[in-house]
Amino acid sequence: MSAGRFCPQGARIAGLLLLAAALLSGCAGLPQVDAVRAARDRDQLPRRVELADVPFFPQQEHHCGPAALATVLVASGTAITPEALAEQVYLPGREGSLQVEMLAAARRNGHIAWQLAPSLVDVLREVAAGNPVIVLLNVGLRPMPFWHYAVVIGYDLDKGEVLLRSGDQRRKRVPFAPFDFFWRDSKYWAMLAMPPPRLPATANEAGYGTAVVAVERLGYAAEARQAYEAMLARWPESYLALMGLGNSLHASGRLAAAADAFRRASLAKPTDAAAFNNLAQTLADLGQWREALEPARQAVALGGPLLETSQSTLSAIEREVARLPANKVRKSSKKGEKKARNP
Amino acid sequence: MSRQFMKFVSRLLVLCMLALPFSSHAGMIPTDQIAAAQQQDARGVVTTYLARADVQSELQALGISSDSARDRVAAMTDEEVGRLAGQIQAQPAGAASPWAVAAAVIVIVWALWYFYYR
Repeated sequence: MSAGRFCPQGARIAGLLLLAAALLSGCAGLPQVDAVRAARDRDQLPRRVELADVPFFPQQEHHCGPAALATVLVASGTAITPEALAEQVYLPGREGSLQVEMLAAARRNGHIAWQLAPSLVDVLREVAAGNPVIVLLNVGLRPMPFWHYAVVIGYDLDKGEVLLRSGDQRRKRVPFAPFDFFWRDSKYWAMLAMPPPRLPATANEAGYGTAVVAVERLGYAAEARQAYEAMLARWPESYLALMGLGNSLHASGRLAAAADAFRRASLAKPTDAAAFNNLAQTLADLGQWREALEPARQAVALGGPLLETSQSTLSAIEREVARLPANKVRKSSKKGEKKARNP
Repeated sequence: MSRQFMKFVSRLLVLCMLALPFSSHAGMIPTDQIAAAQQQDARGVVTTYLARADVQSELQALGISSDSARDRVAAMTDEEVGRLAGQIQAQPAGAASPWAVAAAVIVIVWALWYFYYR
Protein backbone atom coordinates (compact mmCIF):
# COMPACT_ATOMS: atom_id res chain seq x y z
CA MET A 1 0.00 0.00 0.00
CA SER A 2 2.49 2.58 -1.12
CA ALA A 3 0.11 4.95 -2.85
CA GLY A 4 -3.28 5.38 -1.28
CA ARG A 5 -6.27 5.44 -3.56
CA PHE A 6 -8.47 7.97 -1.98
CA CYS A 7 -11.75 8.83 -3.53
CA PRO A 8 -12.72 5.53 -5.25
CA GLN A 9 -12.45 3.76 -1.91
CA GLY A 10 -14.40 6.62 -0.41
CA ALA A 11 -17.17 5.82 -2.83
CA ARG A 12 -17.12 2.16 -1.81
CA ILE A 13 -17.35 2.86 1.89
CA ALA A 14 -20.00 5.48 1.24
CA GLY A 15 -22.64 2.77 1.09
CA LEU A 16 -21.68 1.61 4.57
CA LEU A 17 -21.65 5.18 5.77
CA LEU A 18 -25.17 5.73 4.50
CA LEU A 19 -26.35 3.14 6.99
CA ALA A 20 -24.32 4.67 9.77
CA ALA A 21 -25.68 8.10 8.85
CA ALA A 22 -29.22 6.77 8.89
CA LEU A 23 -28.62 5.43 12.39
CA LEU A 24 -27.08 8.64 13.64
CA SER A 25 -29.57 10.97 12.00
CA GLY A 26 -32.28 9.30 14.02
CA CYS A 27 -30.86 10.86 17.18
CA ALA A 28 -29.59 14.22 15.92
CA GLY A 29 -31.78 16.80 14.22
CA LEU A 30 -30.93 17.93 10.72
CA PRO A 31 -31.56 21.69 10.60
CA GLN A 32 -30.22 21.95 7.04
CA VAL A 33 -32.67 19.38 5.75
CA ASP A 34 -35.51 20.94 7.71
CA ALA A 35 -34.68 24.31 6.14
CA VAL A 36 -34.81 22.75 2.66
CA ARG A 37 -38.20 21.18 3.44
CA ALA A 38 -39.46 24.56 4.65
CA ALA A 39 -38.18 26.23 1.46
CA ARG A 40 -39.89 23.50 -0.58
CA ASP A 41 -43.17 24.04 1.22
CA ARG A 42 -42.97 27.77 0.59
CA ASP A 43 -42.21 27.10 -3.09
CA GLN A 44 -38.93 29.00 -2.93
CA LEU A 45 -37.02 26.46 -4.98
CA PRO A 46 -37.75 24.64 -8.24
CA ARG A 47 -38.72 21.06 -7.40
CA ARG A 48 -36.09 19.39 -9.51
CA VAL A 49 -32.91 20.64 -11.20
CA GLU A 50 -30.13 18.85 -13.00
CA LEU A 51 -27.28 20.66 -14.72
CA ALA A 52 -26.69 17.83 -17.17
CA ASP A 53 -24.22 19.82 -19.30
CA VAL A 54 -21.70 20.15 -16.49
CA PRO A 55 -18.67 18.11 -17.61
CA PHE A 56 -17.29 15.16 -15.70
CA PHE A 57 -13.62 14.61 -14.89
CA PRO A 58 -13.10 11.21 -13.28
CA GLN A 59 -10.55 11.92 -10.64
CA GLN A 60 -7.01 10.62 -10.53
CA GLU A 61 -5.48 9.44 -7.25
CA HIS A 62 -6.00 12.03 -4.51
CA HIS A 63 -6.95 14.61 -7.11
CA CYS A 64 -10.56 15.27 -6.22
CA GLY A 65 -9.66 18.95 -5.69
CA PRO A 66 -8.34 19.57 -9.21
CA ALA A 67 -11.13 17.42 -10.70
CA ALA A 68 -13.88 19.33 -8.86
CA LEU A 69 -12.34 22.68 -9.80
CA ALA A 70 -11.98 21.66 -13.46
CA THR A 71 -15.64 20.62 -13.43
CA VAL A 72 -16.90 24.08 -12.48
CA LEU A 73 -14.32 26.06 -14.50
CA VAL A 74 -14.98 24.13 -17.70
CA ALA A 75 -18.74 24.34 -17.07
CA SER A 76 -18.40 28.13 -17.20
CA GLY A 77 -16.47 28.02 -20.45
CA THR A 78 -12.84 28.10 -19.36
CA ALA A 79 -10.49 25.74 -21.20
CA ILE A 80 -8.45 24.02 -18.51
CA THR A 81 -7.56 20.48 -17.43
CA PRO A 82 -7.41 18.87 -13.99
CA GLU A 83 -3.69 18.29 -14.62
CA ALA A 84 -3.07 22.03 -15.05
CA LEU A 85 -5.12 22.73 -11.93
CA ALA A 86 -3.21 20.14 -9.90
CA GLU A 87 -0.22 22.43 -10.38
CA GLN A 88 -2.24 25.18 -8.66
CA VAL A 89 -3.99 23.34 -5.82
CA TYR A 90 -2.56 19.88 -5.18
CA LEU A 91 -0.23 19.64 -2.18
CA PRO A 92 1.94 16.49 -2.36
CA GLY A 93 2.90 16.65 1.33
CA ARG A 94 -0.77 16.48 2.31
CA GLU A 95 -1.90 14.29 -0.59
CA GLY A 96 -4.79 16.62 -1.12
CA SER A 97 -5.92 20.18 -1.74
CA LEU A 98 -6.60 22.91 0.83
CA GLN A 99 -9.83 24.94 0.82
CA VAL A 100 -7.94 28.23 0.67
CA GLU A 101 -6.08 27.06 -2.40
CA MET A 102 -9.29 25.98 -4.11
CA LEU A 103 -10.56 29.56 -3.70
CA ALA A 104 -7.21 31.04 -4.74
CA ALA A 105 -7.01 28.86 -7.88
CA ALA A 106 -10.47 30.02 -8.98
CA ARG A 107 -9.09 33.55 -8.75
CA ARG A 108 -5.96 32.67 -10.67
CA ASN A 109 -8.22 31.68 -13.56
CA GLY A 110 -10.04 35.00 -13.57
CA HIS A 111 -13.13 33.76 -11.74
CA ILE A 112 -14.66 35.31 -8.65
CA ALA A 113 -14.23 32.84 -5.80
CA TRP A 114 -17.46 32.91 -3.84
CA GLN A 115 -17.68 30.99 -0.59
CA LEU A 116 -21.30 30.23 0.23
CA ALA A 117 -22.99 30.65 3.58
CA PRO A 118 -23.10 27.29 5.38
CA SER A 119 -26.57 26.43 4.15
CA LEU A 120 -28.00 23.65 2.00
CA VAL A 121 -30.78 25.96 0.84
CA ASP A 122 -28.14 28.36 -0.51
CA VAL A 123 -26.37 25.53 -2.35
CA LEU A 124 -29.66 24.48 -3.96
CA ARG A 125 -30.47 28.10 -4.86
CA GLU A 126 -27.16 28.34 -6.72
CA VAL A 127 -27.75 25.05 -8.51
CA ALA A 128 -31.23 26.25 -9.45
CA ALA A 129 -29.59 29.38 -10.88
CA GLY A 130 -27.40 27.17 -13.07
CA ASN A 131 -24.23 27.27 -10.98
CA PRO A 132 -22.56 23.97 -9.99
CA VAL A 133 -21.27 24.15 -6.40
CA ILE A 134 -18.10 22.57 -4.99
CA VAL A 135 -18.60 21.09 -1.51
CA LEU A 136 -16.09 19.63 0.92
CA LEU A 137 -17.31 16.37 2.44
CA ASN A 138 -15.88 14.20 5.17
CA VAL A 139 -16.65 10.69 3.99
CA GLY A 140 -14.77 9.23 6.96
CA LEU A 141 -15.59 9.80 10.58
CA ARG A 142 -14.95 12.87 12.68
CA PRO A 143 -11.91 11.48 14.54
CA MET A 144 -10.62 9.97 11.30
CA PRO A 145 -11.55 12.49 8.65
CA PHE A 146 -11.46 11.52 5.03
CA TRP A 147 -11.90 14.72 3.08
CA HIS A 148 -13.36 14.77 -0.38
CA TYR A 149 -14.38 17.50 -2.84
CA ALA A 150 -17.49 16.86 -4.91
CA VAL A 151 -19.64 19.04 -7.17
CA VAL A 152 -23.38 19.45 -6.62
CA ILE A 153 -25.00 19.50 -10.07
CA GLY A 154 -28.63 18.93 -9.21
CA TYR A 155 -31.27 17.96 -6.69
CA ASP A 156 -34.75 16.58 -6.41
CA LEU A 157 -36.91 17.95 -3.61
CA ASP A 158 -39.58 15.27 -3.96
CA LYS A 159 -37.12 12.40 -3.75
CA GLY A 160 -35.08 14.39 -1.22
CA GLU A 161 -31.66 13.93 -2.80
CA VAL A 162 -28.75 15.81 -4.31
CA LEU A 163 -26.90 14.85 -7.49
CA LEU A 164 -23.10 14.95 -7.48
CA ARG A 165 -20.16 14.66 -9.79
CA SER A 166 -17.92 12.84 -7.36
CA GLY A 167 -14.70 10.87 -7.66
CA ASP A 168 -15.19 8.30 -10.39
CA GLN A 169 -18.97 8.60 -10.37
CA ARG A 170 -20.56 10.72 -13.04
CA ARG A 171 -23.99 10.98 -11.45
CA LYS A 172 -24.07 10.10 -7.80
CA ARG A 173 -27.39 10.41 -5.97
CA VAL A 174 -27.15 11.10 -2.26
CA PRO A 175 -30.23 11.57 -0.06
CA PHE A 176 -30.33 14.81 1.93
CA ALA A 177 -29.77 13.25 5.36
CA PRO A 178 -26.51 11.44 4.59
CA PHE A 179 -25.38 14.41 2.49
CA ASP A 180 -25.83 16.60 5.56
CA PHE A 181 -23.91 14.02 7.58
CA PHE A 182 -20.94 13.97 5.18
CA TRP A 183 -20.95 17.73 4.73
CA ARG A 184 -21.31 18.72 8.38
CA ASP A 185 -17.66 18.25 9.44
CA SER A 186 -16.39 20.83 6.95
CA LYS A 187 -18.76 23.28 8.68
CA TYR A 188 -20.88 23.08 5.53
CA TRP A 189 -18.13 24.48 3.31
CA ALA A 190 -19.17 25.26 -0.26
CA MET A 191 -17.79 27.46 -3.02
CA LEU A 192 -18.48 28.75 -6.50
CA ALA A 193 -16.09 29.86 -9.21
CA MET A 194 -18.01 32.49 -11.10
CA PRO A 195 -16.83 34.35 -14.20
CA PRO A 196 -17.96 38.00 -14.34
CA PRO A 197 -20.37 39.45 -15.25
CA ARG A 198 -22.45 36.59 -13.84
CA LEU A 199 -23.29 37.09 -10.17
CA PRO A 200 -23.87 34.24 -7.71
CA ALA A 201 -27.54 33.96 -6.76
CA THR A 202 -26.61 34.12 -3.07
CA ALA A 203 -24.09 36.97 -3.36
CA ASN A 204 -24.26 39.81 -0.85
CA GLU A 205 -22.84 43.19 -1.67
CA ALA A 206 -19.98 43.43 0.85
CA GLY A 207 -18.80 39.84 0.51
CA TYR A 208 -18.93 39.79 -3.25
CA GLY A 209 -17.20 43.17 -3.51
CA THR A 210 -14.34 41.88 -1.36
CA ALA A 211 -14.09 38.79 -3.59
CA VAL A 212 -13.87 41.02 -6.66
CA VAL A 213 -11.08 43.08 -5.12
CA ALA A 214 -9.12 39.86 -4.51
CA VAL A 215 -9.35 38.95 -8.22
CA GLU A 216 -8.48 42.47 -9.31
CA ARG A 217 -5.29 42.33 -7.22
CA LEU A 218 -4.11 39.45 -9.42
CA GLY A 219 -4.27 41.67 -12.48
CA TYR A 220 -7.70 40.73 -13.86
CA ALA A 221 -8.67 44.34 -14.52
CA ALA A 222 -11.24 43.71 -17.25
CA GLU A 223 -12.96 40.94 -15.27
CA ALA A 224 -13.05 43.13 -12.18
CA ARG A 225 -14.63 46.01 -14.06
CA GLN A 226 -17.32 43.70 -15.46
CA ALA A 227 -17.94 42.45 -11.94
CA TYR A 228 -18.31 45.98 -10.55
CA GLU A 229 -20.74 46.79 -13.34
CA ALA A 230 -22.72 43.65 -12.59
CA MET A 231 -22.80 44.66 -8.93
CA LEU A 232 -24.21 48.05 -9.88
CA ALA A 233 -26.94 46.39 -11.92
CA ARG A 234 -28.03 44.56 -8.77
CA TRP A 235 -27.11 47.18 -6.13
CA PRO A 236 -27.17 50.56 -7.93
CA GLU A 237 -26.02 52.40 -4.80
CA SER A 238 -23.10 50.11 -3.95
CA TYR A 239 -20.31 52.31 -2.68
CA LEU A 240 -17.66 49.62 -3.11
CA ALA A 241 -18.73 48.88 -6.69
CA LEU A 242 -18.77 52.58 -7.61
CA MET A 243 -15.32 53.08 -6.12
CA GLY A 244 -14.02 49.94 -7.81
CA LEU A 245 -15.48 50.98 -11.15
CA GLY A 246 -14.08 54.50 -10.76
CA ASN A 247 -10.61 53.26 -9.91
CA SER A 248 -10.70 50.78 -12.76
CA LEU A 249 -11.75 53.47 -15.26
CA HIS A 250 -9.12 55.85 -13.87
CA ALA A 251 -6.41 53.22 -14.27
CA SER A 252 -7.35 52.70 -17.91
CA GLY A 253 -7.30 56.44 -18.59
CA ARG A 254 -11.07 56.97 -18.97
CA LEU A 255 -10.99 59.91 -16.60
CA ALA A 256 -14.33 61.58 -17.33
CA ALA A 257 -16.21 58.31 -16.78
CA ALA A 258 -14.14 57.71 -13.63
CA ALA A 259 -15.04 61.15 -12.27
CA ASP A 260 -18.68 60.30 -12.88
CA ALA A 261 -18.41 57.07 -10.89
CA PHE A 262 -16.67 58.84 -7.99
CA ARG A 263 -19.34 61.53 -8.01
CA ARG A 264 -22.02 58.86 -7.70
CA ALA A 265 -19.99 57.20 -4.95
CA SER A 266 -19.74 60.46 -3.01
CA LEU A 267 -23.53 60.74 -3.18
CA ALA A 268 -24.01 57.12 -2.15
CA LYS A 269 -21.86 57.54 0.94
CA PRO A 270 -21.26 61.23 1.70
CA THR A 271 -19.52 60.38 4.98
CA ASP A 272 -16.48 58.66 3.45
CA ALA A 273 -13.47 60.66 2.36
CA ALA A 274 -12.21 58.21 -0.28
CA ALA A 275 -14.83 59.07 -2.93
CA PHE A 276 -14.19 62.81 -2.53
CA ASN A 277 -10.44 62.35 -2.59
CA ASN A 278 -10.52 60.21 -5.73
CA LEU A 279 -13.00 62.56 -7.41
CA ALA A 280 -10.68 65.49 -6.66
CA GLN A 281 -7.64 63.64 -7.96
CA THR A 282 -9.43 62.55 -11.13
CA LEU A 283 -10.64 66.10 -11.84
CA ALA A 284 -7.08 67.28 -11.25
CA ASP A 285 -5.83 64.68 -13.72
CA LEU A 286 -8.36 66.09 -16.19
CA GLY A 287 -6.85 69.52 -15.60
CA GLN A 288 -10.04 70.78 -13.95
CA TRP A 289 -8.20 72.17 -10.95
CA ARG A 290 -10.88 74.57 -9.75
CA GLU A 291 -13.58 71.90 -9.74
CA ALA A 292 -11.18 69.63 -7.92
CA LEU A 293 -10.81 72.03 -4.99
CA GLU A 294 -14.25 71.49 -3.47
CA PRO A 295 -14.17 67.67 -3.25
CA ALA A 296 -10.54 67.80 -2.08
CA ARG A 297 -11.53 70.08 0.80
CA GLN A 298 -14.51 67.87 1.54
CA ALA A 299 -12.21 64.82 1.77
CA VAL A 300 -9.90 66.57 4.23
CA ALA A 301 -12.86 67.79 6.29
CA LEU A 302 -14.19 64.24 6.55
CA GLY A 303 -10.82 62.99 7.81
CA GLY A 304 -10.68 59.27 8.51
CA PRO A 305 -7.75 56.87 8.38
CA LEU A 306 -6.64 58.06 4.93
CA LEU A 307 -6.42 61.72 5.90
CA GLU A 308 -2.79 61.90 4.84
CA THR A 309 -3.66 61.07 1.24
CA SER A 310 -6.52 63.57 1.23
CA GLN A 311 -4.26 66.27 2.60
CA SER A 312 -1.58 65.72 -0.01
CA THR A 313 -4.22 65.67 -2.77
CA LEU A 314 -5.61 68.97 -1.51
CA SER A 315 -2.26 70.70 -1.18
CA ALA A 316 -1.20 69.60 -4.68
CA ILE A 317 -4.44 70.99 -6.10
CA GLU A 318 -4.13 74.22 -4.13
CA ARG A 319 -0.60 74.69 -5.46
CA GLU A 320 -1.83 74.30 -9.04
CA VAL A 321 -4.82 76.58 -8.56
CA ALA A 322 -2.55 79.30 -7.13
CA ARG A 323 -0.49 79.07 -10.31
CA LEU A 324 -3.46 79.45 -12.66
CA PRO A 325 -3.30 82.65 -14.77
CA ALA A 326 -6.58 84.30 -13.82
CA ASN A 327 -6.18 83.97 -10.10
CA LYS A 328 -9.73 84.58 -9.01
CA VAL A 329 -10.39 81.46 -7.01
CA ARG A 330 -13.43 81.25 -4.83
CA LYS A 331 -14.28 78.21 -2.77
CA SER A 332 -17.08 77.09 -5.06
CA SER A 333 -15.87 78.43 -8.38
CA LYS A 334 -18.08 77.17 -11.20
CA LYS A 335 -15.86 78.05 -14.13
CA GLY A 336 -12.96 75.85 -14.91
CA GLU A 337 -13.10 74.64 -18.49
CA LYS A 338 -9.58 75.94 -18.99
CA LYS A 339 -6.96 73.25 -19.38
CA ALA A 340 -4.12 73.53 -16.93
CA ARG A 341 -0.61 73.97 -18.12
CA ASN A 342 1.64 70.98 -18.01
CA PRO A 343 2.91 70.43 -14.51
CA MET B 1 22.07 34.33 14.11
CA SER B 2 23.58 36.75 11.59
CA ARG B 3 21.94 34.81 8.76
CA GLN B 4 18.57 35.10 10.46
CA PHE B 5 19.16 38.77 10.99
CA MET B 6 20.18 39.39 7.39
CA LYS B 7 17.08 37.53 6.25
CA PHE B 8 14.90 39.74 8.41
CA VAL B 9 16.55 42.95 7.26
CA SER B 10 16.33 42.02 3.60
CA ARG B 11 12.66 41.11 4.02
CA LEU B 12 12.02 44.49 5.58
CA LEU B 13 13.85 46.23 2.75
CA VAL B 14 11.83 44.35 0.16
CA LEU B 15 8.72 45.36 2.02
CA CYS B 16 9.69 49.03 1.97
CA MET B 17 10.40 48.84 -1.75
CA LEU B 18 7.03 47.18 -2.30
CA ALA B 19 5.22 49.81 -0.28
CA LEU B 20 6.87 52.68 -2.12
CA PRO B 21 4.85 52.72 -5.37
CA PHE B 22 1.52 52.43 -3.51
CA SER B 23 2.13 55.35 -1.21
CA SER B 24 2.77 57.73 -4.10
CA HIS B 25 0.14 56.38 -6.47
CA ALA B 26 -1.13 59.66 -7.90
CA GLY B 27 -3.15 60.53 -4.81
CA MET B 28 -5.76 57.85 -5.51
CA ILE B 29 -7.16 55.66 -2.76
CA PRO B 30 -7.21 52.08 -4.14
CA THR B 31 -10.31 49.90 -3.94
CA ASP B 32 -8.78 47.34 -1.60
CA GLN B 33 -8.35 50.11 0.97
CA ILE B 34 -12.09 50.61 0.91
CA ALA B 35 -13.18 46.96 0.94
CA ALA B 36 -14.03 45.25 4.21
CA ALA B 37 -11.74 46.66 6.87
CA GLN B 38 -8.62 46.18 4.77
CA GLN B 39 -7.14 49.28 6.33
CA GLN B 40 -4.04 47.98 8.00
CA ASP B 41 -1.61 49.85 10.14
CA ALA B 42 2.11 49.45 9.52
CA ARG B 43 2.33 46.53 11.95
CA GLY B 44 -0.48 44.76 10.17
CA VAL B 45 1.33 45.15 6.85
CA VAL B 46 4.52 43.64 8.27
CA THR B 47 2.61 40.76 9.92
CA THR B 48 0.85 39.93 6.68
CA TYR B 49 4.09 40.11 4.76
CA LEU B 50 5.82 37.71 7.14
CA ALA B 51 2.79 35.39 7.11
CA ARG B 52 3.04 35.21 3.32
CA ALA B 53 6.70 34.25 3.57
CA ASP B 54 5.79 31.59 6.16
CA VAL B 55 3.03 30.04 4.10
CA GLN B 56 5.26 30.03 1.04
CA SER B 57 8.02 28.14 2.82
CA GLU B 58 5.47 25.74 4.35
CA LEU B 59 4.13 24.95 0.88
CA GLN B 60 7.66 24.36 -0.34
CA ALA B 61 8.26 22.00 2.57
CA LEU B 62 5.18 20.05 1.43
CA GLY B 63 6.64 19.42 -2.01
CA ILE B 64 5.86 22.52 -4.09
CA SER B 65 8.59 24.21 -6.13
CA SER B 66 9.55 27.70 -4.99
CA ASP B 67 8.18 29.42 -8.11
CA SER B 68 4.91 27.59 -7.86
CA ALA B 69 4.63 28.26 -4.12
CA ARG B 70 5.18 31.96 -4.72
CA ASP B 71 2.40 32.11 -7.33
CA ARG B 72 0.06 30.14 -5.10
CA VAL B 73 0.58 32.41 -2.10
CA ALA B 74 0.18 35.48 -4.31
CA ALA B 75 -3.34 34.32 -5.22
CA MET B 76 -4.42 34.23 -1.56
CA THR B 77 -5.98 37.18 0.26
CA ASP B 78 -4.36 38.59 3.40
CA GLU B 79 -7.12 37.03 5.46
CA GLU B 80 -6.55 33.60 3.91
CA VAL B 81 -2.81 33.80 4.42
CA GLY B 82 -3.40 34.72 8.06
CA ARG B 83 -5.65 31.70 8.48
CA LEU B 84 -3.11 29.35 6.88
CA ALA B 85 0.14 30.54 8.46
CA GLY B 86 1.38 27.81 10.80
CA GLN B 87 -1.90 25.91 10.36
CA ILE B 88 -1.45 24.01 7.11
CA GLN B 89 -1.19 20.64 8.84
CA ALA B 90 -4.40 21.31 10.77
CA GLN B 91 -6.44 22.21 7.67
CA PRO B 92 -8.62 19.68 5.90
CA ALA B 93 -7.08 18.57 2.60
CA GLY B 94 -9.05 16.63 0.03
CA ALA B 95 -7.42 13.25 0.82
CA ALA B 96 -6.38 10.93 3.65
CA SER B 97 -3.98 8.03 4.14
CA PRO B 98 -5.07 4.50 3.20
CA TRP B 99 -4.66 3.50 6.84
CA ALA B 100 -7.28 6.03 7.84
CA VAL B 101 -9.63 4.51 5.29
CA ALA B 102 -9.01 1.02 6.59
CA ALA B 103 -9.50 2.19 10.16
CA ALA B 104 -12.70 4.02 9.24
CA VAL B 105 -14.09 0.89 7.61
CA ILE B 106 -13.25 -1.18 10.68
CA VAL B 107 -14.92 1.32 13.00
CA ILE B 108 -18.03 1.47 10.84
CA VAL B 109 -18.32 -2.31 10.62
CA TRP B 110 -17.90 -2.47 14.37
CA ALA B 111 -20.55 0.24 14.84
CA LEU B 112 -23.01 -1.62 12.61
CA TRP B 113 -22.38 -4.84 14.50
CA TYR B 114 -22.78 -3.03 17.81
CA PHE B 115 -26.08 -1.39 16.88
CA TYR B 116 -27.64 -4.39 15.16
CA TYR B 117 -26.57 -7.33 17.27
CA ARG B 118 -26.18 -6.00 20.79
